[in-house]
Amino acid sequence: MKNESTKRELSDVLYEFALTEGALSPEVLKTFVLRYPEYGESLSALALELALSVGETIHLEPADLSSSEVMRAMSFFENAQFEVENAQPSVDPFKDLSRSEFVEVVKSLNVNRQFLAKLRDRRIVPATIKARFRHRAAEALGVPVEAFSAYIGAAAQIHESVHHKADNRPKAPPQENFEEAARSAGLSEDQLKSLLED
Amino acid sequence: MARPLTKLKEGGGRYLRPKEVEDALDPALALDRQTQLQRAAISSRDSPDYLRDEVLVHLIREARRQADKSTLNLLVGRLFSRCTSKVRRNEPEVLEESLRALGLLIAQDGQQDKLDFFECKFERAFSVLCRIARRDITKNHSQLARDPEDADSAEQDLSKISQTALNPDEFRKLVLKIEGLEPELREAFVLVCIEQYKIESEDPYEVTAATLCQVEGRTIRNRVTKARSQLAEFLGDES
Repeated sequence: MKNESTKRELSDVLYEFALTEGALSPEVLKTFVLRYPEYGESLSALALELALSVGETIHLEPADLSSSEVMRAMSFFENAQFEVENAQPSVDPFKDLSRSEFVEVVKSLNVNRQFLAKLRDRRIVPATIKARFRHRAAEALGVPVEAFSAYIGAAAQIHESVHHKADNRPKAPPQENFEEAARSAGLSEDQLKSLLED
Repeated sequence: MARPLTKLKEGGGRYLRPKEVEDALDPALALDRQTQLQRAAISSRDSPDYLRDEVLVHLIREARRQADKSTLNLLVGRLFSRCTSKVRRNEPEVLEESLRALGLLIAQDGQQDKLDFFECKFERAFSVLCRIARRDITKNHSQLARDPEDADSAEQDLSKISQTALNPDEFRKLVLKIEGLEPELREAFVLVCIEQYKIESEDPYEVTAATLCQVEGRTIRNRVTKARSQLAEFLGDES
């Protein structure tokens, strides 16, 4: 149970809790605290904040678009947008890999070919790929971690090495989260363990 | 027909928008862009033309998908403006951090699908951003000079409160007891013991319980002591 919960980010757990039907019920809180004991304090604090704000009417007027709060937030947002747009992959770290080099990367990451192919084809939801694994993968592929992150963050693709008979190029299948991708790739228990505890 | 959400629940199945959000989406999507922008500017919930926050988030995502930057920026500005009225107290740092986090989620939409939460229940999802912002801010503050005794007591209180969460009846009683505190005691207790703000700081620019309540640090200390004594059955004898 504990092992499973450590794979989830705090924010995901809090969102799930806040959106659960009956989140204000202490019974729901108990369920979440038991499931995610490491987030017990954050869950309890959020539950109290939600419970104590019930019935509290907020009559604040929204700030104007030209207010300093909104202007600062917009400036940050535009910068974030710019960074995301310019983080499009200029480097395909898989492009020049020979078969034997591909296998070497598979070995050094302690995964299998199928899993690495999913990574290559961007079939894994980037946000679910752990920071430590990103660093290891970037190192194994010999590219900076930023370049690797930019690559996996782009749209899912059918890699050019995958052959198909139809006239139209097939669409990329839906993305899986990191754990789903690892499990469905047929990794051994030991590989799964080391990958998910990474 | 609005684009379905993709975020998966932990136990399986996708998140679904509540019916009232779905019902509001189709008419909003049928509007021309100019009308959408005009209605997004309406902040009064009483207006029949008011667009729900969840609808605004959906329109923002659509504008982003269509690479319609001018619409995107106008809608995001409207959403940020609305959010300024959603932080309960005058907590400028919490507001700033929460808006940054929301902006980042919008900028990265597609790489992750957390905005799905905001299309279900915006205020609840935004309260999560505020909680995380508060936690990060008070954590950073506590790494700076903080009276160790104050810090230890506040941390112990939160730890005991989270233990109470394992007993629903006790937790229910605790909520009622906190709600029943005099407003000034409740505010001081919530700020210091739940949200983990420092009581006071030598830095005049640092946000603390004292600055938020606009009183002296010793007043906060007295209020917290009184609140703790009234909540002693939940917090233990030493409080």
